[in-house]
Amino acid sequence: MLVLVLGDLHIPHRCNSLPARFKKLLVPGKIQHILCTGNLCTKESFDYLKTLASDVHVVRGDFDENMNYPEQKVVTVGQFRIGLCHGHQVVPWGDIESLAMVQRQLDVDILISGQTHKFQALEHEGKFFLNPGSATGSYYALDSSVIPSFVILDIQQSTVVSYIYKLIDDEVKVERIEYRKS
Amino acid sequence: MEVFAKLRSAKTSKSLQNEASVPPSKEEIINVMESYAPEKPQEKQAENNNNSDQLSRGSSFDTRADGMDSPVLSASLSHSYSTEWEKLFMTKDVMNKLKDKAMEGDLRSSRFRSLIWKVRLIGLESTQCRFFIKAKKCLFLNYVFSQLIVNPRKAVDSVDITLNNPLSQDEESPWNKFFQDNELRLTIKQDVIRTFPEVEFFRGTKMGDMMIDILFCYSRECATNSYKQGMHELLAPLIFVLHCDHQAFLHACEIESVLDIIKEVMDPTYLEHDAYTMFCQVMETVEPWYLSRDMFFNPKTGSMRNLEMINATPFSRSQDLNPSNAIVTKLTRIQDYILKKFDPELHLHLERLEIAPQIYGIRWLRLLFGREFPMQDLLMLWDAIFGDGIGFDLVDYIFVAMLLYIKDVLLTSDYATCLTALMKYPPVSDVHYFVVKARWLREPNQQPRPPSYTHQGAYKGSSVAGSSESIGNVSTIAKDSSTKTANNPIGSTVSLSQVEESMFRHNPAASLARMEASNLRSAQSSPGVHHSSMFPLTPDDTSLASSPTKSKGKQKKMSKLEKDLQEQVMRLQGEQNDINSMCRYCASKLDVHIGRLQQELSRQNFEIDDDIMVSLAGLKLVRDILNGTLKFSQNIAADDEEIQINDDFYGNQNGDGFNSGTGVTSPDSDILLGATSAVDEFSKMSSVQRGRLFYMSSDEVSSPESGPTTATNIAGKIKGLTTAELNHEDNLASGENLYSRDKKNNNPVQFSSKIRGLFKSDSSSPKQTQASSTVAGSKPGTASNVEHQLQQTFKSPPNQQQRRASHSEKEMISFDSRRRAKSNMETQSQYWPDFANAGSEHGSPKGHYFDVPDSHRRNDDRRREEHLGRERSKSQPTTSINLYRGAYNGEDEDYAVNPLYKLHYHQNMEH
Repeated sequence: MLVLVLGDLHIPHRCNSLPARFKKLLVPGKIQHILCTGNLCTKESFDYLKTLASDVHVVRGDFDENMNYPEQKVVTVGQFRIGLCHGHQVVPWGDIESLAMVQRQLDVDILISGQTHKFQALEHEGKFFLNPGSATGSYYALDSSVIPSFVILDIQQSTVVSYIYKLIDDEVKVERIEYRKS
Repeated sequence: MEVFAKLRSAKTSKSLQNEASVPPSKEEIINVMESYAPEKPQEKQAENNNNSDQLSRGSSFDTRADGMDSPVLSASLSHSYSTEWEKLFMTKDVMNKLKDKAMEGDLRSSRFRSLIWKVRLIGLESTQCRFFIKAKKCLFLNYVFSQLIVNPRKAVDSVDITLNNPLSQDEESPWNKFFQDNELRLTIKQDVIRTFPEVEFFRGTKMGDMMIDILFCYSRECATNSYKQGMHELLAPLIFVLHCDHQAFLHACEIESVLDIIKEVMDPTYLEHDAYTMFCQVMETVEPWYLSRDMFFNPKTGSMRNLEMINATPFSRSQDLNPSNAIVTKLTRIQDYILKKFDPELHLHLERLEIAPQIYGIRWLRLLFGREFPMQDLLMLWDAIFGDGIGFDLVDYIFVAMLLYIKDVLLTSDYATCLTALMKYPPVSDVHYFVVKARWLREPNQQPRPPSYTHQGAYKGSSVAGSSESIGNVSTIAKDSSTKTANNPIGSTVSLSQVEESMFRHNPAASLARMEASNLRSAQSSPGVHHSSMFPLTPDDTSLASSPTKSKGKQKKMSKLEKDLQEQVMRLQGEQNDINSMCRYCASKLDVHIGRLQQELSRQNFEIDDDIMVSLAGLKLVRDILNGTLKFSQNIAADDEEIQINDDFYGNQNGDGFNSGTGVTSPDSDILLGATSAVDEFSKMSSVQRGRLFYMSSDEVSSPESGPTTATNIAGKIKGLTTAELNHEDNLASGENLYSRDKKNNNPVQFSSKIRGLFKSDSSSPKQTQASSTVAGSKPGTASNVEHQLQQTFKSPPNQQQRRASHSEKEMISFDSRRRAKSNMETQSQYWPDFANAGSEHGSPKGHYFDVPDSHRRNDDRRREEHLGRERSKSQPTTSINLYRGAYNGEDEDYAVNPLYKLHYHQNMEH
């Protein structure tokens, strides 16, 4: 089962659209679920995601127009409980200990957060913490050079394989990280 | 035997496409195959040896029956499974026998149909085929396990991550393949779950999965051609047949012992494998029909382009545009070559309606007619197609045979109905007919000609008299006849075909006869006024034309009378045409004589005699009717009463010997020409002796008249002449026999005496004459009555000559009465205003006269004058006027404007 994880698009505030190469990769029919960490920020972006997969889960970022998105969300895919949170509420931003608190709070196997615009994937206390970065590469309050990136999760029984797509020098680079539920 | 067991166990352990199951080692299979192969020949002869083998192994004794009892069984139980096996496969020249059986449709109830298909499809000797099938199975298994399931998650390390990622769109990417496979499976599944919704067999998920797997394997294996919609409908019957045969096999295993070879070949566990093998074989031929090259893949740009857009030429048919498309080429060939060859008419019709064969034909071909027939019929058809061998050559001809079958429907319907018939093929009672017909179409010389019968469904209820509203009815009719004509093997098709043949046969006959007639007409080159080359249908004409349709119902049943009836129809047609030509001839002659008469009249220039005009007009009426320009209708036709009244004259006429002449009912052109010369001679001769002769006759005629006559001798002469001419013409019209007789005798005196006699009889019974002219005796009435009688006479030959003759007399009589009316002519002028009043009184408003064209008006006036005289004498103006009106209002023919009429008219107006 393929799950697309992305966030912090900041369209149209900081970027006009997804990179063309990303758009080319993202075609309908392959992805079953989309988990979005927020800051889309407009309805149009959400509609675009809807075209890729029918099942789109979004949590509210600090720039989202839609106030109805929840702050946090838990989605169960296969055997995994996946927590979704934008992360601007979690201070310090991107701090693993703070995020671990949220993870424990939500009682999830995988916690997905955004806000830092920097891809990050690590195991902490047997749990998987994932930050897909910014799919558009829009700037971050603390960092202006952001590498556009998003993540595909291939979830099989007790294994999650993350494919990280980064746009470096206008080339799509793919990385692969495997996480096994213990 | 061990080998089998081994093989089986090896295979059964591998459930198909289950990635979890242990993949079979290739070596194992190969080993099995190798050890299996050399045993083959042994096994064949080993049937008897089996006993010892198996006994020694301590297996149950029932295997003993295997070798020994099977011949015995075959004697007692002809339906035994093993017996059937032996009959089918243990004979010499197996292949040809199987082919024949398949062609004859004998496999309908065979329990080895699937095997026969296999054998025929693969095209191997049966001994070979067993092994071949086995090998195929192994190959299939290998394929399934090595390639079928692409799991991108398995080959993690072997493949570069840039390729092996879920979003990769590279052709090499396992993920990409995976997605494509999934898509393909989804597509297949969509179709498969809709396969034969009416057959319960295909409903289960097990069957569905199997079909998906097979189709998927196939489309993966054949890189050139992916799955296309419709393939599942080819596969489904294959699986169905296999399943049925396997069930039969299992059943047979329960009730009797079965040879090992049969067990081997009919093993139900290999349903999927067998189906796959057969499907591949079928697809080998059918596959090109699924290829559509409308979309052309351009490797350089990597895009699909539509070729059609490029080389489209204006005004060309769509099927001509894209010759590279195999199925379109094939369909075009079928329609433009085969169909055109066998039925240009139908081809033209379809062409005209612009029904391209691909509209309906693509489905027919791609599914091998799967949607056109119910399952059982389809299997029969496939028996033949497969039995015919690789190439499926027969399909083209079956295609055409199917078209020919619904030919009648197609020919009689418009675009929409045609398409409906083609898209929703009508139910067929005997599908084997198509096989027979197709074989005949393919090899007309080697195959017996099949009866050609067509679907006669509810589409054309009227022509079949509603007897075939449904196919069920048709078949019952067919059965009826098949019992009568038992010599044809396919009973159900016999009579219908003959009906059809008869229906189509008399058409050319009719046209031929018509051509003959036109030839006759042109040969005559008569100087008369021919208003048109086509003569309108007289009632007789139509009755003749409709007679075959009326008798169609009988023909259907009495197929033996067919030829007789047809001959009769032909003869009648010929006779009718003769009559028509004769009428024409008579009309032209009448015309000549009328013209001569008028010349004479104008030259002599005496006071206008009303009667002459009346009789002239009558003559012209007769001429026009004969010519066909004046429509003969029942209104004009004389009532029956008149005929009855005139019955008295038969006696007189008999005395005169009128009926002594032999009837010339069907004159050839020669005879006609001869008659023409005869008439000419006669008219010349009569013109020489006219004076004396007709003077006498007029004397005779006028003598009984009591009224004062103002007519001079000359007038009387002319009068007589008119009568004689009339007589002459009427005789002409009524039959050649009179002419020939007159010619033979060449005796004008006799002729005159004849007339005299007639007039005498007339005067002796004046009441009848009066009645005749009063009730129905309007001139057009009698004249047309003559015509009517004439045709009746020719329709029902010579015994009515008497009547005919009597009618010619009758004609004279009516003229005679008119002549008598002339005697009152003196008073005409006084009554003239009266008459006008009467005319307006009696439902003919004056406006009417101004409505009609000039010539008509003149005619009407003339008619009125004609009446005038008679009215005076009979004082029954109402009926006769109305009669005239009716007669004249009904006709639209442009009356030739005659100067004489004009003259006459003006002179009358001067009164």
